[in-house]
Amino acid sequence: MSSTRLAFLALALWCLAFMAITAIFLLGGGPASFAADSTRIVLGAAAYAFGLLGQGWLLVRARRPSGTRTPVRDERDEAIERGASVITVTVILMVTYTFSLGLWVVYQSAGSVPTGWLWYLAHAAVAFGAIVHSTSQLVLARRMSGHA
Amino acid sequence: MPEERIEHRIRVLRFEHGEMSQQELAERCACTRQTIIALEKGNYVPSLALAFRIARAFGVSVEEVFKYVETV
Repeated sequence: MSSTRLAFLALALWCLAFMAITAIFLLGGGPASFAADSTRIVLGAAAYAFGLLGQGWLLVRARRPSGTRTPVRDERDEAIERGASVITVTVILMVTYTFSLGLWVVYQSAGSVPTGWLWYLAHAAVAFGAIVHSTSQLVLARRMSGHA
Repeated sequence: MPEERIEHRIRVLRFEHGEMSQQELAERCACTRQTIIALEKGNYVPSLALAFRIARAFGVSVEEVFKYVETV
């Protein structure tokens, strides 16, 4: 499996996981009741596990196939991955900062933030990071290809 | 500031070597075919190690494959 195909499948996988995590968190009572709702917590964790296990399965599938003389990944793929990682770290830092400050602004007068938001921030940050990484890989691969 | 770029003769050398396919060159250089395509299109500059492997695949020196061009 090529790096581009891997990135595309990972993007689809984590988009599903992210949408599921967000829907489970926001629907059925919203953030305020999330921490006390074990069903939604388990469902959200299952959506997160779906993303993680799916990513692991993709990485196993992406291993070098036997009998092929060309590598699945080479220095260009590594350069693309380095670039994608830099973009991902930058975007995640900015989004986490903005999101956390947003919560602070919204709940400042209430004196406390519903703890469910922390659960969501932790899980959604990983899923969103994977989405940004896969998207960056696809964009950079496009720019560093014969099709740009 | 001068503009610099790396020119190459990979496509010419492939045809001079019995119309060697991109896949065959990739196998000889231990890289992917996508990288050979990107190199030929000028969208990727190889590492020094890959440049040497490409030159070795054609049995020539690196200077015969790649040329450093600086324009003012």
